[in-house]
Amino acid sequence: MTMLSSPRRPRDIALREPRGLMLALPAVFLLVGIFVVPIVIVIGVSLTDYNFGDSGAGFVGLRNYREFLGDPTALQALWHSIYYTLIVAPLTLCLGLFIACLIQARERFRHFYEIIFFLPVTSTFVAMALVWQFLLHGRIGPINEWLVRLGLERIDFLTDPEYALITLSAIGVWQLVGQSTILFLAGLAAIPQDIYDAGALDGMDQGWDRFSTLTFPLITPTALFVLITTTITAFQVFDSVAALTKGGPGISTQTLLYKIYLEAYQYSNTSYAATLSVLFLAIIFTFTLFQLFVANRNVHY
Amino acid sequence: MKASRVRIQGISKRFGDLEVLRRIDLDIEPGKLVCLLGPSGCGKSTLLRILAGFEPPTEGTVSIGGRDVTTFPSKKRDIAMVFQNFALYPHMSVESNIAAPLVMSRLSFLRRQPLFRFFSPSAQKIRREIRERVVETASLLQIDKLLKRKPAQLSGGQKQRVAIGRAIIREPLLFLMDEPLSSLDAGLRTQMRGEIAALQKRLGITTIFVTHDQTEAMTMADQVVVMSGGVILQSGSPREIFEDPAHLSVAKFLGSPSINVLDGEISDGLLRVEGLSFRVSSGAADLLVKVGIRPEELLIGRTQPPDAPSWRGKIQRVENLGHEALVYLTIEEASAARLVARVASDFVADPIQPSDTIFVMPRASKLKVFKEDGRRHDIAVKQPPRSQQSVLQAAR
Repeated sequence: MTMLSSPRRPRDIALREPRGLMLALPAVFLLVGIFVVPIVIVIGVSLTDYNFGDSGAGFVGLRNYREFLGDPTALQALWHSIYYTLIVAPLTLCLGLFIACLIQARERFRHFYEIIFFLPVTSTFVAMALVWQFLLHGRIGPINEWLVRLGLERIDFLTDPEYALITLSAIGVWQLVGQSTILFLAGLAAIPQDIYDAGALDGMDQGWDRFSTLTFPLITPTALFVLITTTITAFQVFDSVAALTKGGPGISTQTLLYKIYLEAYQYSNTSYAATLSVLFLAIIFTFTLFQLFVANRNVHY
Repeated sequence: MKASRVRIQGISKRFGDLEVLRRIDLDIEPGKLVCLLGPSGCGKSTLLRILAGFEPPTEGTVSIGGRDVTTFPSKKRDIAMVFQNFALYPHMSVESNIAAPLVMSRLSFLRRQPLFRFFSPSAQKIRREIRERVVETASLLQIDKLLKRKPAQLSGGQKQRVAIGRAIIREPLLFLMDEPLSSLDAGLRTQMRGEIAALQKRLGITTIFVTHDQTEAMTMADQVVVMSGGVILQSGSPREIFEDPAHLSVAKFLGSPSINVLDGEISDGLLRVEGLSFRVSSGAADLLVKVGIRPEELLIGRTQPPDAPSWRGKIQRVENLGHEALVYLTIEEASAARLVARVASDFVADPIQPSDTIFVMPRASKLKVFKEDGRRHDIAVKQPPRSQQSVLQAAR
């Protein structure tokens, strides 16, 4: 083979070297079988009236999608997911950066703080939910005890429709902030000390000057990454809903993923659940595309 | 131009048990370019960081321009620095990089916030003035075409110029450079060496320059400070340091190829080195010594000089560098000590062969005698009675 001459386009090589294609086949087959086929099946099911246990299914076109647009509970669930994400993602970002800066400034006990803030990420949420349930309980929870002692009214954090989703959002921040702190710590560690030294001579030696002119601009690639990953993770909220509120009270904490779960496994509405899943996938896919094409190019040095 | 005296008094620095600097005293005349020279780990960079205010000294004081700045934070010291890897702000354009020190010092906290400029004519006026200064500085350094670029789009030499621009724009009292040439390639290094020295002379700013490269020190500096193991071994003009080293380490550190060092002994008013005897100034106590001879202070020839002390040597290797040649040889007499001599290249144009026997005569007055602990032994070595230049090839 005279491969050393001019570089050829991959497509040309594929056409001239069928053996290469053959060698790639097992990997292609696995990729398609594991990732592409299930998505195609879900999209297919969403176009039928199939219910779990049915012996057959009829093609109904976009009827399920029209049904979604006229289903207030599903639209509510979508809104709840967006609402939750809008609270959790920015808060996690800011709090994570803030904590990371505080930890970075410490010389002793650094590892101690890193571990403490990372604990929620490593622990199983369903087990931790037990603790949250107790802490936030309307009657016996310590947090309400403190509120009473401060002369405030009791709040039914998880059972009052007005507070339940906000409470879950706060717990969501608690779950995710460790991850973003660790990522920001890595980002901060990558800023060379020389730059801070140069800044110290030029007059940006501490506080807001240093943060706004040096630290923040240099950490924006990390910040974008954290923003997108926490947005995706927050949009997928499910475990805290399932463990703490079951979507209630009423449907006040039903998120999109929980609604899909209900339709699929509680009501056996397989085709409708598939429709919602397609929608869900489309939204996550958009975030991912944003990360790939916008965020990666937005690194300005 | 501002030129300020720098005075370092009794500076020590310890990191835990490790003593990096031991009672450093140094006085620097206004407007001089001073080079801290030494092998890595000798404490020169730590001394520079203490001057910059990045590290507090464990003991001692630093004064710049008559002010004791020992406890001042970096930005209050009115100094500028060029870092080894330039430390440009990667997210800022060249223009903003050079402007940064002026923006920080001339605009108040409120006035530098991004939106504020639209409401404040005075802030806009100051920004215009800063811009003029940036353009002026950039054209001085011939980087005025690059002002809109980001550091990542610059070559090493251009980055270096931007770093220098950022340092000189505010006319500091003291200018520090931490191995500024080490990340440039060889050709550029030679060029920048000359440019930096010329710029320093033009601006007249007192400058302290850290390097481990003797050529940089010898070619650029007014004063060379040789450091080793956390102490200053010698401070003086490049010529003094080279001709009259106060310590064996200084002698070894300067000059390429390195100085030849032989064991010697002083007894009965004679210096004996590998079988040769020289007269020394009277009253010298008996002592074991190290004797240093620079490669260019060795004369070599094919016939034995009749009445000057010379060694019989065997040539091991000849490196012809074109304008000169290095002759590596061993002394036959005593311990087969190795020597290197620098000679004019026409000397080796004769068919001289490895393993040829030749005669080596050291120039007695140039012998540098050191005590066993490395410090210079202050005695004069006398010439042999009659020099035999006629039979010996002059070494340079």
